[in-house]
This record gives sequence, C-alpha cells and structure tokens, in this order.
Amino acid sequence: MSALALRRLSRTLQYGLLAAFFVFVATPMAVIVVFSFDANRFPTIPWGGFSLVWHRAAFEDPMIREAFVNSVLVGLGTAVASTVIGFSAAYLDFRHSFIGKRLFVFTVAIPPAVPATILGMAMLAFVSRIGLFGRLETIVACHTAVASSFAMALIRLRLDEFGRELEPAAWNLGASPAAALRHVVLPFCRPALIAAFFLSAAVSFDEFMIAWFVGGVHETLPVRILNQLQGQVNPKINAIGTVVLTISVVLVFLARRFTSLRPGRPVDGDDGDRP
Amino acid sequence: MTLPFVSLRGVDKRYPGHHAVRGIDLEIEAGEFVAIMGPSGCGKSTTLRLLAGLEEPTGGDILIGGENQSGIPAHLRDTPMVWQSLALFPFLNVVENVAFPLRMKRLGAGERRRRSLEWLDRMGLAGLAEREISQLSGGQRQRVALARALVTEPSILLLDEPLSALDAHLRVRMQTELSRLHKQLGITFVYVTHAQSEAFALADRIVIMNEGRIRQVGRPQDVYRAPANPFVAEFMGMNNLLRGVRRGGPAGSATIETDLGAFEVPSAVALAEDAAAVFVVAADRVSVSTDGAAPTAAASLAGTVLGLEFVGSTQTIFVETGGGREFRIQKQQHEIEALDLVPGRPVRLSWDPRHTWLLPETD
Repeated sequence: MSALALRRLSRTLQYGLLAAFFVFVATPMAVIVVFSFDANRFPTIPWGGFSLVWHRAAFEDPMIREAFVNSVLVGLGTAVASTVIGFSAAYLDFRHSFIGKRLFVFTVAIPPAVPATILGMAMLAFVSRIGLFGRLETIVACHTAVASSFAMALIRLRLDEFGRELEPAAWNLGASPAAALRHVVLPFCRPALIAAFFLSAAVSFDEFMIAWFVGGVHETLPVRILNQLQGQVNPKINAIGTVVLTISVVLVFLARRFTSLRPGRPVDGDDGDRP
Repeated sequence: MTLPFVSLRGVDKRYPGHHAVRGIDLEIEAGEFVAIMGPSGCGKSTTLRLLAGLEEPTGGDILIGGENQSGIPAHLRDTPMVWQSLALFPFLNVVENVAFPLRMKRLGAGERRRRSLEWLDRMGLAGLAEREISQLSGGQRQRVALARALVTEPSILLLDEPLSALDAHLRVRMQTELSRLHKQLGITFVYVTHAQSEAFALADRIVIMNEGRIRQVGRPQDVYRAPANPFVAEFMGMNNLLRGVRRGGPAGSATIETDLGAFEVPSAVALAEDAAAVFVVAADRVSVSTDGAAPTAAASLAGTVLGLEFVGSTQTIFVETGGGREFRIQKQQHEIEALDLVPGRPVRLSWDPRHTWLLPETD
C-alpha cells in the first residue's frame, strides 16, 4: 500500500472515530435536549411540537427546586473550598521542601483515581461514624476531597511558570511574605484560580455517587434525576437533564477559557490598586 | 576616619553539604562602587543575598549604616537588588512594576504614580509607562528593573550580574548608563559579576572571591598588575605563572630557580632562602623572536609554537616551553606578522625582569 493510501485510510479512520463519538456520546445528549421541548408525553417520532410544559412542570416540582438549590450550594461550596485547598497544596509543593512531600502530593492526587462507588461507600462509613451523615456541608466536604485534586493540578501547572526569583524579589522590594503572597503570587495565579473554581463547581454539579451515599435526605440534582427515574418515567427528567447539561457545559467552557490564557495580565486587568 | 557604610565581619554561610561563604571580612565606604568577582560557585551571589537579607548568615555580622542587620528580614532592609533574571512582575505593566516598592510602603496612589513616572522619565522610558513587560526590549526591561530598584531612593544598590542577559553592544551602553547613575546618585553600588570587563570599567574597587573566601581586594589596576596569589593571577587571565624556590639574589630582587632555569625577579616581599615562590610574567610583556639569539639583559626561554588564536586584532600565541608547559603571549597582529609563526616553529621568548611580579602568597 502506498504512503498516500495509508494516509487516506488514517484520515478516514479519524473521521470515523469522530463520527462514532458524536453518535454515542453527543447524540443521547441531543436527544434529551430535543425531547425536553416536545409536547408529547412519551419521546416518540414524530415530534409533538415545541412546548415548555415539561420545563415548567420541572420548575414547579418543589423537590426538583430544592435539589437544584442544593446542587448550586454544594457546587459553590466545593468550588470555594477546592480552590483554597488546591492553591494551598500547590503553593506548599512549589515553595517548600519537607519530609514526606512526595507522599503528600501523591495523596492529594489520588481521589479521582478511586472508583466513585468505593469512594462513596468509604465516605459514608466515615461520616456516619463521626455523626455528620446527611448534611449539605458533608456533601461539600466529600466533593472537595475529589475536586481539590483537579484544582491543585491546575494551579501547580501555573506555578511552574512562576519565576523562582519573583517572590524573593518582592521581599527585597519591601513586601512582607504575606504581602508578596497577596500582591505577587495570587495575581500571577489568578487565571488558574478562576479555572480551578469553575472546574471544581462542574465536578461537584455532575457528581452523583458520593452525593447519593452521604447526602441522606438532601438530594442534589443528579440524585433527584435518578430517584425520579426509579419512580415513573416523566419528560420532566429531560427538562432537568437539559438544565444540568447546560450548566455543566458552561462551567467547563469557563474553566477552559481561563486555562488557555497565556501568562500575562489577569483578564480583568485591574487589581484595584491602579492609581 | 569615617565609619565604613557596609561592614562584613567574619560572615559565614553554610548550607547542608556546602560551605558557600567562609568567614569573610569586607568594608565598603558610602558611595563606593564595589564589584565582587569570581568563578561560578565562589560565593559572590550568596554574599549579595546575605547583604539583602534573603539569606541569614550562619556566623559573623553584617552592618549597614552602622546597624547590625542580623535578624532583620529582607523586606525591612532598604537594600534593593537588580536580579540577573530582572524578576519583573509579568502581571503588572511598566509603571505598576516601578511603583511596586512604593505600594508596599503604603504611599498614596497619586504619589506612587508621580514618583514612578519621574523615574521612568529619568531612565529614558517616558511614554512606555502603560506598556506590558512582554512588549519591551531587553534594554528597556533592564531600565525598568533599575527604576524599580531605585524608586525608593535607597542608599545602597545591589546588582547580581545584571547585564549578563544582554548582547555585547547593549552591555557596553548599559555600563555607561550604570556609571552615570552611580555618579549622579552618589550611593553605594555592590555589583556581582564574572565579567572582568564590566568590573574593570565600573568599579572603584574589586573583590575577588574563590571557594567562599576573599582572595584579594583592591583597585582594578592594582589587582591586575599586582595579583596577590596564583589564583588571582590566573583568574585575571593572560598571566604566565612560574613556580620554583628562592636561591639568593642581589638586594631588592630574588633569584628563583625553576625547572626551566633561574630567573631574576624584583622582590617586594621578604622571602626566606629556599622558600617556595611563584612569579608572574604577563602575556603582553613577552617578546617573541625567531632568530634564536637571546637578547642581552633579558630573561629568556626557548620553545616551540603550539598554535595561535585570534581575538579581534590581538593574537594569542601558545608556546610549549619544555616539560609540556604552555606559555601564553599576547601580541598585536601587526607586531608578529613578519615572524610567520606556524605550529612547530622554534621560537625564543624573552622579557624584561623588571616587568615580572613575585607573588606575595603562593597558595
């Protein structure tokens, strides 16, 4: 076979893979979105016409509303806690060397690698033993355990681009260690901090297993969807699915936008100190 | 006598497994331009970082303006430094970089901007205030770093190989600029470099360090013409060192017996009979001839040309003088054109004994 033919075959296979991705991953999502606006009771073709009836029904369901509020609260809490912890861990790894540092970095990186079921069960066993089962804060804590790994990885990557002399230079120019952290390290890391915030929120917003294990009566949206499915099949689920999908895509998109930034000034340009 | 502005007294710095600075003593007058030189790893940069308080000495005292600096953290000392990497803040623009030390001093926004713009103007950067650092050329960045270090009007400026990132042409221009700044401001400059040309062009006094110790301190021309020991003589480059033992000699001079023969050397130092001795023959003080005859009243050596090296209009001739020893001779191109020096050619080297220098220390 000639090289040219080989290249053509390779290209065909690549397009095939991309097409398969859309068929198996993107199409089901598209189906959910399309049928959430269908007036019919059951998802059938032909389409029964455009309607917001299922979105309205979902919105008027108090359990779904509560689950949505829970998801937003847990997502925000996780985003804040993960960004703070992720930054602290990344900075500790960047600035200091100490005994057991490798183990520490390894420990931080491990949670996403553990199957969610096992993680959820382990967390359930732990939180019920210390009497924290079934609280929103507990879901936040457990989500943070997973999301802070991602946050640390993102921020650590950014710190790799941070000149080792910038911090001593700031001290040399009259900044106390705290002021150097606030005026030099944090502004430099800002794009990564914002990205870590959105990514952690997205991780939490999508997460089902841990929330289901440790949440008790407090349902997040993914948990509500599953509970709803176990009762009766209702197009309301499509409507919730559409909302969750939209929010997740937006969060991931925002996270991407900040990670792809080149080193330089923060996007909003002003840290409030400009004369 | 006035007190020195900076005093290092027995300053010592040990790291685990590395003794960077070994009990150095140094005094620097207010307004002096001192260059610290030495090969990499000699402790020169560590000494500068000790002055800035970025490292704490493990022994000895550092006094600046008569005040003992021990225990004073870096941010409370007024010892700004220009870094080799410049260490400009990439997320701040030009004027914000320059204003940074003033912001740390909690000056008002208007005052910060006014003083920063004034310094930018002074460094020839007017109009670039709102630029990003990434938009500046190497020379412009250098000036921003200088403006940022000087904006608080300190009484001492530390410079850690500040010109090493610039190309040769720009380096010479920045040297002139630094010299001008030093004269205008009248403050103390402590300048670390490994480039002899920079140290010689700029400094009132140079300090030569090796392996954590100060090997010689003096005016550049004195260190150059009268090195104190073999290390400094070799570090200055273009010196030939001959080792031997003292065997008598007339008053004011010494006869040094080496394995290449006995040589007369003017002796300013008291040297015991049979003591080990090292003397220096500067590469540009040696004459080369190809006719084989030794000039009278001159010390001379026979050898074979090993090779030649061009550095601009100057040529360095490498000559083997027996025992595998290499002698270096520096000549202008036009001076040796007629000699037709090719590798393998026998030559005679000679020099005026008055131009040789007996080292006070032999290491």
